[in-house]
Amino acid sequence: MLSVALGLVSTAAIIGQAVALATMLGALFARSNAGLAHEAGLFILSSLVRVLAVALGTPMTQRIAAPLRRDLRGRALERVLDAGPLRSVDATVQLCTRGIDAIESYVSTYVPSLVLATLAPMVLVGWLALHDVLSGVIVLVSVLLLPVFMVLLGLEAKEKMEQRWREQQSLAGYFGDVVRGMTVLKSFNRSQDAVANLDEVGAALQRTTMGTLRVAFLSSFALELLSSLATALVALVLGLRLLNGSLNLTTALVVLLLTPEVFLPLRRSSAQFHASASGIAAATELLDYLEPVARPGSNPAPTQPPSLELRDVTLVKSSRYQVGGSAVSAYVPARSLVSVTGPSGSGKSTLLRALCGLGEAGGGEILVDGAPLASIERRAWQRRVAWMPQDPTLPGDTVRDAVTMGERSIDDQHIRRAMAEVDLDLDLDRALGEGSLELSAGQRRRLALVRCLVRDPLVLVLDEPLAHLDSESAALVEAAIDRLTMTRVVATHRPLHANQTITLTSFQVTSA
Amino acid sequence: MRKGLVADALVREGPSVRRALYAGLLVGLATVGLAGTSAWLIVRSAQRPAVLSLSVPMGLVQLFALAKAAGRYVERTQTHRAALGVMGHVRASVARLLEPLIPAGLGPRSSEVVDVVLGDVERVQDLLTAVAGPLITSALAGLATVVVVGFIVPSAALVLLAGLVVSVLALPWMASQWGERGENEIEAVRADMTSLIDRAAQSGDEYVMAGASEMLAHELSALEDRLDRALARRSALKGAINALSTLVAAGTSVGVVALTAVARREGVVGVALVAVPALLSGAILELVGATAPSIVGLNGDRAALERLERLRSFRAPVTEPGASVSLDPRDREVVASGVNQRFGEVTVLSDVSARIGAGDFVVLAGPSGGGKSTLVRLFAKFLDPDAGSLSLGVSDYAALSSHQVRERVGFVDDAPHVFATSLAGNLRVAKPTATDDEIVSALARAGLRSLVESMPEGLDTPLGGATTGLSGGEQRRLGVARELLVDRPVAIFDEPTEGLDEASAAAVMASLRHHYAAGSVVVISHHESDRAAATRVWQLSDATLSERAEVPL
Repeated sequence: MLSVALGLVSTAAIIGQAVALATMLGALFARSNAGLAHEAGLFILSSLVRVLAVALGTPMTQRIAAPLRRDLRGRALERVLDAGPLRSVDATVQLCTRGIDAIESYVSTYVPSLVLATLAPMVLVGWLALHDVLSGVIVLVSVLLLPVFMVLLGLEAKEKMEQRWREQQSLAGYFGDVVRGMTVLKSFNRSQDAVANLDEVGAALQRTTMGTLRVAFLSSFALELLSSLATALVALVLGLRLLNGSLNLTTALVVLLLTPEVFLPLRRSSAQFHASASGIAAATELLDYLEPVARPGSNPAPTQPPSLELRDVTLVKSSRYQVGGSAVSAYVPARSLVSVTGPSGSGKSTLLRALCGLGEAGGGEILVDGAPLASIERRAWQRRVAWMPQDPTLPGDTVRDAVTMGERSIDDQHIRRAMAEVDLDLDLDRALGEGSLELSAGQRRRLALVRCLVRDPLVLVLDEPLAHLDSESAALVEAAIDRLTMTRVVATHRPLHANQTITLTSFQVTSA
Repeated sequence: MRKGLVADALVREGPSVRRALYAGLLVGLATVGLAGTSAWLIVRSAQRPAVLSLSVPMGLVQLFALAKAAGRYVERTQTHRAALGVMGHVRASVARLLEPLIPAGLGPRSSEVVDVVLGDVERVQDLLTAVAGPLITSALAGLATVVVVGFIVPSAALVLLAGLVVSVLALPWMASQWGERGENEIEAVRADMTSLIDRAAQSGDEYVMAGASEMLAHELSALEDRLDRALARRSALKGAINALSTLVAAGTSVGVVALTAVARREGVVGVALVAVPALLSGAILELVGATAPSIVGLNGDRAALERLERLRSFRAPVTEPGASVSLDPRDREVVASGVNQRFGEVTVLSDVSARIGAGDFVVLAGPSGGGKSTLVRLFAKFLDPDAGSLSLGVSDYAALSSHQVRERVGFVDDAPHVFATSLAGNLRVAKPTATDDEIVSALARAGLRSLVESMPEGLDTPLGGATTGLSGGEQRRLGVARELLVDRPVAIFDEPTEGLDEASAAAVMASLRHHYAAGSVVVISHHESDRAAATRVWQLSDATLSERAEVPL
């Protein structure tokens, strides 16, 4: 609001400048120097007021939107962690970074400029009408014609802009796809083609985007046209009235100076409308994405290693296709070790994720100490369960970071003890790049296992912990898993010394 | 940036870039023309001449008004056309630069490199449309105005010139000087944010399960704090630059009016022209002033450009021969002699010699991270050895292009990329002309028949992205299917059976053995059961390659 007020102060200063300048020029015309210094003083004073209003107003708009940006990004992150990425990792990163920035700039620049674009012209037209009715009417009619043009053209432009945003995303996606898939493309000698194709995709984007922009810019063309024709018309009418002596030169000059100023805030806000269309598109997408998921349960999580029971559990992986065959039922006593086997694609990983309270639920029910898992507060349950995925990532800069993931309560001694259990000997300060080229696959896997162990979980869920390990270290890890005493669920291709085995069947195709 | 990606792209987009500049110049001249003629018209009218004598200027006023509106439209569309074109070229050039560097020359952070590159390319567009274009065109229109004013009141023209120089040169320079640190900070924060969201999107479940989601939220909040501060500084600077530009415009107007007054007293300037210098100056300074705030972001744009240019300085992991020899049809066996490879301090391969002949089905085993992947990357010429040599039949690798090597040697990495296209499209990456039947057959031989049949849209099922829906094992077999589709005499598979149960793994190995009965295959595998299919077993440990004596059946 204050920034709008400052905008109005600035408008008043513009009127002051115009009056002073016109009076000076009128005096020059009449070859009289009387009051020239006075008018120059008024001009400088108005200019200073305008400078001050501008200097203070610009930073103000930024402060409006900062809390909104912060809140949106925080909620988006929560959503990413809860429900996984939207469409793809790239799309999610785009939406949460540039998308939210676009929303911020929409709120911080477009909205205030829109308010000012309605108020400032009203002030200026009002002033003009008071001093010269005819010019006031000409300008008012031009201004009133504007919304008609804008509505006619702007509505279409909005849809086109949303389409453009998506097209740009898909081009960005194509570019990313080519770069990420470069190894595959190169190994089939197709990388040159793909890179050459990028030229074509760019050209195609240029063509389609230009088609939409030609329409989108029509509204700004209408604005320009009305603004410059109004100026021209006002100038002609002023000239004719000066010719027959019904108007004095100073008034005419003030009107001439102020006419373009009426349209200036409108032009600014229109320029920002196009810049902010991507903000609206991003906001639409973000709001869809932030739609809340099913409420997690509220019961407390167990405090001792619990028993687990699967009751007719069927598994669904993404919404695309079903995994696993018939429904699974099994009982896992507390503190026991159960292995989950089955052919690839039978849903081992999906079952393990379901036990962790991750991902989409299929049919059936999972019971923890006899109570449905869905009734337990999800975050609390997840704090009691440690999970090692098939392809663990090791974030952070050092071995220690990868294990603690920022949790300060885990001390070095604790980590070293867990490392000894899985026969891993690494310097905790050893640097880890992303993808850690220097750490072997087996070391990475054992480090991920260490990450699970240091959290003293009640339930340990391991997805293929022995993959990538040579027989010697596999045996060591296996022995370590044996020695542990919490409830353990391990997906594996190799037989373990398990108390029992849950065997999943493959999804049966009717034709097979 | 005298010579570089963007300069090249600008040259290639030359015609549309020039059209955009001409249109911008047209807008500038029409704006100034409209202000000048209407000022003259009004003052002249006040002298009450014959109406007829004013018909030409009246027509001119209307003409300038139309030209201004039309010019603005053309300028906006042309600027965007040029920017889109330039961006397309820049993207293609960047991909061309990255092409030789992947997979072995870009370091492990290639996904981050891609993100940074995407953002940087976007900034090139900003630079062109919001900064460079308007600044150049308004400067040109400004010079034209100075000339016109110079004919009326020469001294006022000098004041106007000074005002323009301050607006076009000094203010941008100040904005760029004062803004540099803040812009760098904004860049740094945005990069950190991107990597944070990327981590959360890639492995959010792991953060949740490790109880680290709160930590991520705190990290994000700290970044937002930094962003708030930096953005506040940026908008304060923008405000200051805006204010200065308003001040310069006001000062210039006062100076122009004062000098016009002097000229008028001396009778140097005609009475009808008294208002023209002041109104012209006002119009042109308004035009120039509108570009001032966008300059604050200039440093970030320049840094983005520099990062893009820096991609050129990466060393390609493979040297392509100047003139390559032609391949002999009999060149079907790969021989490595005395190969050494180091990464920094670590010796990965030491004096490794090996030969893969026709009919060989080699299983390459050894401890994780022991150099197996490096050795097979050398075979596929994704990497040149530090010392030693490789050859394809009678041709030395050094004399062959990597393209030629890969006509004979296929390579499937351990995490084959799944493209954002259909299942069929993902296989046609290997062979664009493949028929649906060929694709189904390749998928079946790779053990993916039931996957295809379980997919609702069959071969047309869209894949790609994080929601790819493929397990690690399925992804690897997709890579195998691609290789089976093209059928090269030598094929290398990096852990194709990882994540598969024994029965499926055995089926894939048997299928490969059958398919490559006369060819040469290297399969990296940890599984002892996979060795059943092998004719030879290599062990790579402590950077040394040895052949196991106990060759299975």
